[in-house]
Amino acid sequence: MGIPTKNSRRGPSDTDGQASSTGAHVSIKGVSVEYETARSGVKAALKDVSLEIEAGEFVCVVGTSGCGKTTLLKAIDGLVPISSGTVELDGKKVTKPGKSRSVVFQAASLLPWRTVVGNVRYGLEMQGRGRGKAKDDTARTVESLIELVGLKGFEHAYPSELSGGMQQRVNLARALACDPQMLLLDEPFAALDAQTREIMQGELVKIWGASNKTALFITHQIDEAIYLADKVVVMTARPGRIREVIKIDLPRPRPLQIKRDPEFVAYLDQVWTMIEEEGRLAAMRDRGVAQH
Amino acid sequence: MASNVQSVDDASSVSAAEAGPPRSRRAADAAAAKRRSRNRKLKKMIWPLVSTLSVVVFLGAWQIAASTEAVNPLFTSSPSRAVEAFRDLVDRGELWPNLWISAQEFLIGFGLAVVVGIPLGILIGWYRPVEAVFSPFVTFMNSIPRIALLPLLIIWIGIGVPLKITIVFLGAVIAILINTIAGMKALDQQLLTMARSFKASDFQIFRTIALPGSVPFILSGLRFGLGHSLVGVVVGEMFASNQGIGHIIAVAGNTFQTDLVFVGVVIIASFGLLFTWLLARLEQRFESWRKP
Ligand SMILES: Nc1ncnc2c1ncn2[C@@H]1O[C@H](COP(=O)(O)OP(=O)(O)OP(=O)(O)O)[C@@H](O)[C@H]1O
Ligand SMILES: [Mg+2]
Repeated sequence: MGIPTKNSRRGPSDTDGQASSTGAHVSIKGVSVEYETARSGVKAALKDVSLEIEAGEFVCVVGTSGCGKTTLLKAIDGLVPISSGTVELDGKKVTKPGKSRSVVFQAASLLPWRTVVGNVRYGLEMQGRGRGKAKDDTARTVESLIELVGLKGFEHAYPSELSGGMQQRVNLARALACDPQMLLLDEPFAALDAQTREIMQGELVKIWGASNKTALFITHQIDEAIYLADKVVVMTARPGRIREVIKIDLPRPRPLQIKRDPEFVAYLDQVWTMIEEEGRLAAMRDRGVAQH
Repeated sequence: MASNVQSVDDASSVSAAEAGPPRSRRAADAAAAKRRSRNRKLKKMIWPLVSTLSVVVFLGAWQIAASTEAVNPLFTSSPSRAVEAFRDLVDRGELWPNLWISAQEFLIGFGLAVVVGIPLGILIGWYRPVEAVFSPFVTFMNSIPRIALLPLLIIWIGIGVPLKITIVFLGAVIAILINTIAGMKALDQQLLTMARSFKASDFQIFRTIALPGSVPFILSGLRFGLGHSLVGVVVGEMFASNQGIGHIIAVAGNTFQTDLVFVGVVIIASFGLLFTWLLARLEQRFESWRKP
């Protein structure tokens, strides 16, 4: 199989012409993040994390709950202050959120007083887009994204009228609407049923393939990570370090049946073993802490 | 794109079709549904009905107790005597002028409190320096019953209509202020992070998150303010006035006209009910997105 070339990685939709932005190259060097907590003082959430994400790459991050995956994502977006190290995006240091990145948050984070349309437009509005001449374009983008995430007919529903999974799809559409160079996705499909999840995975890969975006995708679902990723990052238990970066050499486009492929299953075993080990280590450490 | 959206819909419609019952059962189901919805409507109606009945029974018992002189109607009055007193009041031409005075005091005082309280509350809640300047006064005013200021206010502005307007204003404005401030500060952290990730400016966060998010708080401020205002009107007129419904109640009490006291109380109560109802309508308008 060898190392896939740029072209073989891309699906047939490469020539779609939808691409409006080229992916961003992310370089994370020795990043640590600490949180100040009211009771136990300063707590390390990330420790000395280094990671290179190539432009247009799809990277999945897995790790036990609380290991710092969301923190890593926020550090890349510039949403948390970094105590040491640097995050660079195309050579420029990241200090605050920028238009080149969009986040799909772990919690849907929708404005309860806006309808689905209003929520999907939100990011565009905040970036001063969708006004004047671009207004019709924006409306079309929003409409097609709502259709894409399977919420046609719910355009004017309020979040309180949607199920958790539907809200999560609005969250995804809102991030996609900004057409960023880099997508940061925090367990976006966790609330979906298996079937919808697979459909959404397919759509996401298609959008990513068609537009050269770089993607960082956090998930607890190991098969999801392997199915989507060029590279799976396995994190250690708290405080989060990078334990291993596993290159997934599976050809694209990847049909769903690939999940039964021996190669796929081998990756699954590999990642699974690591995470299990981390879980055990963390549990042991927690017991140790409890005894002191 | 469209074909995949189709499949999301299909996924749900397939399972629905599988479970689809035969025609006869469907008809029976429809009838059952109709019955259920009628039952629901009945259930919805039954409690107001019980409440109405409860009031009617109470008034009936009161009337009977007074007519049979089981209680002394000179002390307790009775519904029929109160109606009689009300007619008297109208015949003497004393109802409308007094009602008008009280209404004026209430409307102007409460209106001013709204016009001042909401914007000032927003400013205090949003700008730390403004808060630093005003919060000592707000706290001070909140911790004394405003009625205690009555003697001072009489010295300053006499006992005319402006006095009552001032009392009503002071009563309402503090409640509105405090709730508006609380609303501006009760920002949902997740929404805030989301907005920042889309590069929302402070003003955009104010406009799209803080302001709509504080609406429920402002409305409850209005509700509290309403209560304080009514107290202000009545007490102000009782102690420092020669006109108004509160004055009528005070005079009637001093001259042992229990019937007339009840008339005054019911008029004030109706006033309160009317405005509570108007507020509820306003609330419905603003909060169509909030589902029970
Ligand atoms: N705002 C915060 N203040 C203090 N501590 C925090 C904060 N956010 C996260 N933490 C801590 O940092 C650690 C990492 O949190 P993070 O949210 O990054 O975990 P995660 O890997 O995303 O977990 P999960 O899979 O459950 O979402 C946790 O131990 C958590 O307690
Ligand atoms: Mg997380």
